[in-house]
Amino acid sequence: MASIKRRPTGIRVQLQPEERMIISAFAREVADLLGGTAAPDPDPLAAMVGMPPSPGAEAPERPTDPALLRLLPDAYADDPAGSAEFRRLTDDELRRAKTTSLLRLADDIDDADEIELDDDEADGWVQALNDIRLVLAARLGVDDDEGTWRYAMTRDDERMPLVATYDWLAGLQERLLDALVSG
Amino acid sequence: MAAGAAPTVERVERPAGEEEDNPDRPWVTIVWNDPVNLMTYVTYVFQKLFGYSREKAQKLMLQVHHDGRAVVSSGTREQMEHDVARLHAHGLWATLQQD
Repeated sequence: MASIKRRPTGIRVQLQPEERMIISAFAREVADLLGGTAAPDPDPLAAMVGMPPSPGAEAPERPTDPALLRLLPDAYADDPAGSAEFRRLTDDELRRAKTTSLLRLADDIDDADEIELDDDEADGWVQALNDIRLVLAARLGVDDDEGTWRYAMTRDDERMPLVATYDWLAGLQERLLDALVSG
Repeated sequence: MAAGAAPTVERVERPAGEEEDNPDRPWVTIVWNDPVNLMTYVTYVFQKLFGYSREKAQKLMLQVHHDGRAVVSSGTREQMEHDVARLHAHGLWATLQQD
């Protein structure tokens, strides 16, 4: 069972080997879904000065995978053209930021079974864990807070192990967040 | 958070003659309810991104939870686009619109 404790020097997280394997695998899977690596910006100068893509750059396509769409949602509820323009300006950076947090989480976890995080690092972990949960929820069909999706699942549903992982990750995220805000 | 309904457009009846794109009407950022984000996490994100007090952040989180949505910030269109981008980075379901 994972142990998360706030100490004067930071937040100490201890994980079991199986827990590390699960988190690392899911973090890398979601990073893959987002497009792979936390690659440097194709235009380093633009990245340095925070320039948006040039006006001629094509708008990236709206994701058709519900999980990916949940990570990269529309910015306007009723304006597809506005959402496409917003996507053109932000999609790249959003994917990069999420991928970076996810791969950092995976790398941190692969490195050691006991790790001490400062608040910034813990914040990055909490966000990455949240993105993993958003993707799992989309795969599981989590669509209400009453848990109807849970009861609709039969005992032999092949997604059952995912439900356990989803619940466990929620607990882990909550405990890490508790440690973070108690500092 | 409670039942996650898809965002729907709320058309507000306006008095005849009022400009639809009145530049004086502020833009708002709306956070929609979803069944995945933890209540504590949503509160944390509101405090972190907007510098809100714990009370205000919690009140907004509960409004999202109970009403399905809440206006979390208002200002110019550019400011709201910035807020929405930051909320998306944190995995919250946010949109902007003119108030």
